[in-house]
Amino acid sequence: MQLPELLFQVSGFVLNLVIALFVVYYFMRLRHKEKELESKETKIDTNYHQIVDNALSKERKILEDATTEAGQIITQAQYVNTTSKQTIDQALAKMIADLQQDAQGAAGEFKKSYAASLNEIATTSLHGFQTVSHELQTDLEKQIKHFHETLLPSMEKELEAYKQSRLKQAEQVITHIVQEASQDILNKSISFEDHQKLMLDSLEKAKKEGLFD
Amino acid sequence: MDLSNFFRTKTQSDDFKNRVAKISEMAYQTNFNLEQALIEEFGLERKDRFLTLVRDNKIDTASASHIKAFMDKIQTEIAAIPLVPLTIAFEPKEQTLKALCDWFELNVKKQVIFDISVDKKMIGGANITFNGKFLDLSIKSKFDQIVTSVLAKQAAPQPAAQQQKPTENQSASHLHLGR
Repeated sequence: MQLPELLFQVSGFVLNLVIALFVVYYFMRLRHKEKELESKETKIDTNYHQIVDNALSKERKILEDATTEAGQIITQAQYVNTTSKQTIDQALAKMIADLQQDAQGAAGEFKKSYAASLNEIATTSLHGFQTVSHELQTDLEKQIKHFHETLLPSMEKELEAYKQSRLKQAEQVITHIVQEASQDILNKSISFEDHQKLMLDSLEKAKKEGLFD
Repeated sequence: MDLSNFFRTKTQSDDFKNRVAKISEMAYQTNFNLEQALIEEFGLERKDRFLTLVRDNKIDTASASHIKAFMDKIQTEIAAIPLVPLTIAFEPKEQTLKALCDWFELNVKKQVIFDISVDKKMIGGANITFNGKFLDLSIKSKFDQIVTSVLAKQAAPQPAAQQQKPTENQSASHLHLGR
């Protein structure tokens, strides 16, 4: 075996050895990193479970506290409700009793007063009625006499004047209607040629009266 | 300038004046043809009458300035024609307007424009206003006079009748109220 060939083989071996050593070192490094990652993952997992457990326990505690507090409020409210109802019932009962008492008193007083008034009216009205009816009769007779003497003639005069004015109005209306109807009839009864002639006659009259001077 | 062949009433004169003004505005336009413009505005018959008027006034139809001046003169003359408000009792026909124009030309010796209104209540005749003076020459005024005199005659004996005392049956003095 020649020297250059041996050198080439030795250098080839050394190079292969270096590559093999690098590969081994790389795998070892990779394995180490993998282990680090696994340990980190385990740690994170443990932390996560711990946080969740803590949150759940806090939730349970809050719910328990809320339930206890709600129960206390409901118990207190029932107590207040019962107490208020009792107080109101008592007050109403007292009011009813007071009102009944007052009403009985007022009714008694009213009854007494009404009976007294009725007695008074009954005694006075019978006496007064006779005098009042007599006065009324006299007054009525006077009024009728006065009516015959003064009011009736003036009423007759007013009626006559009213009748005359209405007749005058009716006459005016009738005259107006007759006048308008006559105008319309006369206008239609004149022929076109006569209308034209009347118009020219009017112009001649206007000329004679000096309208166009 | 005799324009009586073109209009008789106020409405007709206003229309004529507007058409003349329109032709006057067109006079300076390129390709303006007076005859064509007159036919469009007035129709064939009145176009011929208008051209006669143009010839009588010795207007050069080829000159835009002459045509415009003539149209302006026509408008001025129309404005100077007196307006006669006339109320008659019937719807006038063309022959009525002609008769009126002829009468005025013959008797008043000048052209007028009639502002005619119709009032059938007048029965007949006419109401005329001229130079600020008004005359009622309608039959209605005479008719009203007759009606008034007749009514006055009828009303005259009435006061004597009114003074009569009411008869026994009409009197209310014998009536009694109550007891």
